[in-house]
Amino acid sequence: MTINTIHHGNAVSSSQSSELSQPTSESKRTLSTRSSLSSQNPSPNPPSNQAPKTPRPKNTSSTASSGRLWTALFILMVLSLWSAWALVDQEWTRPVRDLLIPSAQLDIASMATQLHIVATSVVALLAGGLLGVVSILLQQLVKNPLASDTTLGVGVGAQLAMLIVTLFLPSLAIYGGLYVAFVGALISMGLVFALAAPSRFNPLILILAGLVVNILLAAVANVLVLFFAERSNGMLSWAAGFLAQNSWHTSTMLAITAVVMALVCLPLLKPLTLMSLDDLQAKRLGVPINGIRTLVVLIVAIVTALVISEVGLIGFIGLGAASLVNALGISSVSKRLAAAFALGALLLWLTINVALLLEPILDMQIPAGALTGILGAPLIIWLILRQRRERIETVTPMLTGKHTSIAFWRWGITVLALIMLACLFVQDVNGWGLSTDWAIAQQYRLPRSLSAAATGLMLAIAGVLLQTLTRNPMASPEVLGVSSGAALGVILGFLLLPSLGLSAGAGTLLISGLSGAIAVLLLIIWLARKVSSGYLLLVGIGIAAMMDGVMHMVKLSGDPRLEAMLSWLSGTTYSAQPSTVWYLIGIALILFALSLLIIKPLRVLGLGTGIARNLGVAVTPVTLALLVLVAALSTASTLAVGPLSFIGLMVPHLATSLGAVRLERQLPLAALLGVGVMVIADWIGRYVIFPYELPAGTIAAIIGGAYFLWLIRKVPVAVSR
Amino acid sequence: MRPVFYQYKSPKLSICVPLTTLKWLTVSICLALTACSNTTTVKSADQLNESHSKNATKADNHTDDTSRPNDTINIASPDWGNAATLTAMGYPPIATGDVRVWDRWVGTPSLPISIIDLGIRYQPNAELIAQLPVDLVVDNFFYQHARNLYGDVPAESVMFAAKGDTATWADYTGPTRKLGELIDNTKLAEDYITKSQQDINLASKRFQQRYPKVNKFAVVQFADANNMRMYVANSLFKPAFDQMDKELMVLGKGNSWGFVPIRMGDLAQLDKDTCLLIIDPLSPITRAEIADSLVWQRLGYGDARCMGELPPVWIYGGMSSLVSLADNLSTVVLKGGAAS
Repeated sequence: MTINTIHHGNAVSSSQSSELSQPTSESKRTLSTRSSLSSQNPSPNPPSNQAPKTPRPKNTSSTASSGRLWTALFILMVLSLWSAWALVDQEWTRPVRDLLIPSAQLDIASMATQLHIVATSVVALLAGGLLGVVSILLQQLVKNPLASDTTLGVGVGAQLAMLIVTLFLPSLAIYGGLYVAFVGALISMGLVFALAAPSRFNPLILILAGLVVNILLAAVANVLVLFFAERSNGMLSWAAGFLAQNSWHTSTMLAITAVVMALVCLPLLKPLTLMSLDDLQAKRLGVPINGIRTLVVLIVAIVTALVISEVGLIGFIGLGAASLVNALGISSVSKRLAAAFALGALLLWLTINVALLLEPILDMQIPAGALTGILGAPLIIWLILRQRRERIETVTPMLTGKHTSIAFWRWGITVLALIMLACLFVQDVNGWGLSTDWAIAQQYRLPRSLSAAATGLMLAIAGVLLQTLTRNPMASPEVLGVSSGAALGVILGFLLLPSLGLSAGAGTLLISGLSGAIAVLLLIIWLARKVSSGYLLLVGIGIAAMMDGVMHMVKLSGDPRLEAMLSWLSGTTYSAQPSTVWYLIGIALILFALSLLIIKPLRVLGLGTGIARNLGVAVTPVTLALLVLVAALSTASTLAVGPLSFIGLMVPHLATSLGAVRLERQLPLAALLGVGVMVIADWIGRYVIFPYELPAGTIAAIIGGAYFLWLIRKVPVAVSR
Repeated sequence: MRPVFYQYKSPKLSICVPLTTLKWLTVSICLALTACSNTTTVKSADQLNESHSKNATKADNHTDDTSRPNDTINIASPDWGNAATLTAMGYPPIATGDVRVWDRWVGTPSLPISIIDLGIRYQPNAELIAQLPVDLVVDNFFYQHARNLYGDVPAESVMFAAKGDTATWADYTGPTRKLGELIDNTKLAEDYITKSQQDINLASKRFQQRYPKVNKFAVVQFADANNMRMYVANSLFKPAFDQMDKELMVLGKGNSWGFVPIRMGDLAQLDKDTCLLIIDPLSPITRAEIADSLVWQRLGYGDARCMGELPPVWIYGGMSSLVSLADNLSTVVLKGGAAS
């Protein structure tokens, strides 16, 4: 049903696109809005033929639109009630009013069903409501309509802390789960804020920092789960966000939280209202700004921690509720909080009802957290489509490097030496040492190092191409969700192809992966015409969350074949073989050669589509060729080492900082660096805990994520306002 | 008899060659070898032989593993079911996967100290297998993706699982006999089957003495406080209970892995005199959550109804899992219901 609302929202957006699609004048000045992709507009020079408009505040949206939103809200409510009724109808055999009689008076089976329906609904309503309020509080705090517990990494931090404690101090996890989650939430939120602080909480940087912290912490959690698979067994279903209840304990706990939070928020309303206008004004009026901020952060951390320690990670509900509140144009803080509570409650209630209704159909347990993750992608797309109406400070993080000459042969030799060393200095049966065992090196070590090298190369090129094409230094196949799309395509192909009578072989999986990547790319192109490219990064968050949700479902299905596929998708070079690795190298080199051929038109394209067209570049064919190239690169590398690695994001910047400023130099140097980083990541994954292994993709994500956080911190931001 | 390609030969190349030269040499040779790997498989097999001997002279612990007489077949089994059954037969494999958590999940039989850890079960370290004097890899259907990584080492699939909707004793004796054929010692397998049957009968008698009134069991493993797997007719519990003259109560037909996912409330559908067996390991957190559950409190297991907790047994294990299951059952502590 969330889909329905979103549909509706989309309809609203498109019906108004004629008047709203023009970029606001302020954002036109920024580099990022003049996305080359928008060149696909019939108009050759979009900025010039559109009358500059003053940025419109969100609540000036026409009455027709607001009427439609209220209709959407009404539909949401009706659908929630209807799904609840359908659920009761399906599971409850006694009269409906028996649902409310005290549990102790029912027989066991009825009591279990009652708890399953009523207690679960109560928990869903309260947890959803609390997450909605948390997101609005965060948005008031950082004045960013995209802030939420999900996008700022609050939930992931709490989850990782719980995971670590569960693994190593289980007794603490039983009795102190809340405090542990609280500390984790505070740390990850602090990290995101610390990263965004130098740019004065610039909206884009804040969300980016949240995104990277999210992926980084998830990668760390992934390593822990892989290595302590047996101990984190019970964690799996908790991490997926199961809401189903078999006691009133959680409901009571959340109800108390909601009441206490309401009481705490009451005195905060006035200072928050003042602060929402202007911090300086508020300060002059005697509002202790920093005190209020600290208090809000603490409230957010403790409430998120509570919800997470009780029901697990539930993504996007807070963001969805807060976005609906923004869309409705409610301005008073108290009303915003109340509306967020109601909307969050409804959204999560509807989700859990749908999940419970689907369970008997699919014959498996469906965690609400996974379902919200899957529904998160359409939500985000709807959000960014709305976003173009919002007045928001746009920035382009500028990454500059000094132009220096690069001795490519030195880099080449270093990379070759690295591959060699990775094959020679290893741990084997006898421990660490130099191994001169030719046979094993050629059969096992070299193929894996070489396939890591090939994927590093491909991801690096894809990153350079995407960053130049979108003129967005934060673009990369992983961040934009192209790799996740490829992985989703592979999973769906694996699940659905047999039922279509096709065998799920390497060839068919390649095609399904490629179609996934192309689908995401097409979506990005479509969106790029409508919104500033900075927001495209959010698509990546959404699609990655969708893939996460699907993966959780796959894990819970208990099918060992799928589990084997999951470990493959986690990005390991495990299955590299001497007979096939040369194909991969071949593909990588061919694609590399193709991208070298396309450098010249790409560089012209990088100046802007108008200029490019004037200089005689066939813009559309070149763009299309580039996109197909990027899709091919992403799919090939995803199939080899999995979707999340940050190589494509990090290596182009590394190349720039080493002096390869011009595209002709950046591309080959990035390719070499990509090879180097990936080979190192693969080597670490294979030998540090020999004979056990960590996937190269996960190691690369941790290296790349850490580097990127460091980069974001240093980045000089060109604020254009 | 499979050829043993592991031999002792001359010590390895001297390492006094300058390091850089060695590096270049390696790479060029590696590249040359891999480029034509398809045509040189025989050659590389020879090299594998040599390489083993080089390694062997390098390490003392290595020779320990190979101290067996030359006519035995060295088996590596990433799969626990085969590894456990082989160990119980008295013919332990030289290597298996996830050794560090064996005790937690498999328990008995305990592995010999000399066993080598192959790393993650589903991703056995092929590089390590190649360095070991392995003559045969025994795995099953779940390990197919790793098959083509074993190089020249032959691999055989032995699967302990129900052929139809109900697991039978024959589904477990068949693969055990096949293991006997693979190690070229069918008598060992036959003796083990006879002994297993005796052990299970003995365990059954002991159990009968302790809890004469308990005849029906339901077997579950908790995923979290609310969700669990109930093991049904096509799981290994069926033949074990059949041998012990006990009845396995189920709620539905299982999937291909022998279980059906149920919720805690579904347990109410079981008869009052059915004894609930919970398979360990159960995390302390889940345990606390279960105790907290209103449904669990009302079900009254350990009080009005009979329940017990069984030490870990590898659910997808072979014959040895049946025996350890019976052994565990003979010493289990049951509480409540028919047990009191």
